Order: sequence, then structure tokens, then C-alpha cells
Amino acid sequence: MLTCKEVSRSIASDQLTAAGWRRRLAIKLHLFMCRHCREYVRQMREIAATVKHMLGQQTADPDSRERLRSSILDTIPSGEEEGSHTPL
Amino acid sequence: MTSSPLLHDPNLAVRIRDRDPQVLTAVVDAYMNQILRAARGAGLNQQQAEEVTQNTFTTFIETAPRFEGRSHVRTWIFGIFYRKIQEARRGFAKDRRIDDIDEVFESRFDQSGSWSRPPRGPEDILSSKEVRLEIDDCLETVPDRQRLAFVLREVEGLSTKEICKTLEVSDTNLGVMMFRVRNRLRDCLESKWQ
Repeated sequence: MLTCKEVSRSIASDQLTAAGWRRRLAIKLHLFMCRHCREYVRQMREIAATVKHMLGQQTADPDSRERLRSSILDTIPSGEEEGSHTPL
Repeated sequence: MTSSPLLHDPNLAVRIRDRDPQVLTAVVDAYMNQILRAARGAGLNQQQAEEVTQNTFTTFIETAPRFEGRSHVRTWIFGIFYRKIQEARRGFAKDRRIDDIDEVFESRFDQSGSWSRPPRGPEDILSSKEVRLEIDDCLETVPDRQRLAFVLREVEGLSTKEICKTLEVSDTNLGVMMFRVRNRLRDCLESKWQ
């Protein structure tokens, strides 16, 4: 039987995918029965989702994105020196 | 923002090496917003983040002839991005503060490994505006590399392999970093809720 400490440590360290099916099943079972571990996992997920949401908002301004995009694209060599756009 | 069919061209690596303007544009369009967001997530302000993004792609375009295609183009770009962040913020990731979060975690359990102080917090974290401000505060307390690892995983959705390659850390090491940053953030927020 896994302890709460083992379960929360495994989940927080992203060890689930590397773990064998037995351990994954044991963790699932533990979560099913333990509301404290469920709460721990829920909080970590929600914190991550909130950070993602916040950063999305902070970088959403279309004008500054467009400005940045065109100044990056300006540094792409046009390829014309290779004659690809030579007029007839 | 949707990935251009150009990026699924089997000759993608060759076209990148040839600096095919169409392909380079498609790469910029596919990853610019991600890099900008990751830069903000790493703790840079808007201006710094835009500079780092610009420098990342300028270097990508300059070094494109050396792209071998052995790793995914996104991994290549995130590798450049990580170096640019280090240049932009001297001392980035040089942080050597003692990490006490491991002890904090340990202290939450009794001898048998069950919660002695179970996690506490509001029902709904996402909807609260105050919580967002608090999370911003808490992010500031996280060491640079842990914070970046967190953003690459949770915001940019990079795989373990990609993050390990970008930050030049082992699998195990990344696991420890993720464990610490998640617990640090959760713990920091919890202390504000009490």
C-alpha cells in the first residue's frame, strides 16, 4: 500500500509515465480513496492552469505581436540573390 | 497559430538549411508566441521578453544552415531561447539558494507517510483574481531554472525529453526540479490563504 507521501511525491515529480502499470494503478487507487491527495493534485493542476492563463493574457496584445513578427521576418534573407525571383 | 503544412514537409530540415523564406516564416509563425510567452513566464518584462524572442529567431535564422534535423525544430529553437535568456539576464539560473522546500514537504506527513497537515485552499482557484496576483508573487520566489522548467512543462507543454535537452539536465534532475517548483508554488499560495 502506497503512502500519501509516496503518492504526492510521484505525482509532483512527473514520475507517473515512467512508472510501471502496477504502480500507476496503485496511485490511482490511492487517489480514489484519499481526499487529501486528491486535493493536493487538484491544487497543483489548477495552479498550472492559472499560470498558463495569466501568461496567455500577458502576451495576447495583437499589435505588439505583429510588430515583433515583422521585425523578425525582416531578418530573413529574401533569397533573391540566388535568382529565384529574376523577372523574365 | 495553427501549424503550417510546410512544417510537416519531409524535407523540412533541408528547406530550413537552405533558408527557404516560406519555411522560415512558417517556423516563426508556429513558435513565436510560444517563445514570447515562455520568456514572460521566465520572469522577463514585456520589453525584455520581446528582445529575447527577437534574438532567438534572429539567431535561428542565422544558424539555420547548421540545422541538422536530428532534433525537432522546436527543440532547437528552445535551446537558442535558453541561451538568449541567460545572456539577457546575467546570473540567470546561477541561483544557489538553499532549497528548503524538501523539508517543508517532509514536515507535512507523519511517521507512517500520511498527511499530518493536509493541503488546504479555496474550492475554486482559477476564478479568483486575487489568486492570480498571489501566484505572480509566488512565482517570484521560485529559482530561475525551476521556474523555467515549470513554464516549459505546464504552459508550453514540452515533453520531458525536450525540457531535459533544453535545460541540459537529466531526467531525474528534472523530476526533482518539478517536484520543488510545484510544491513551492502550492506552499506559497497556501500560506497566503491561511
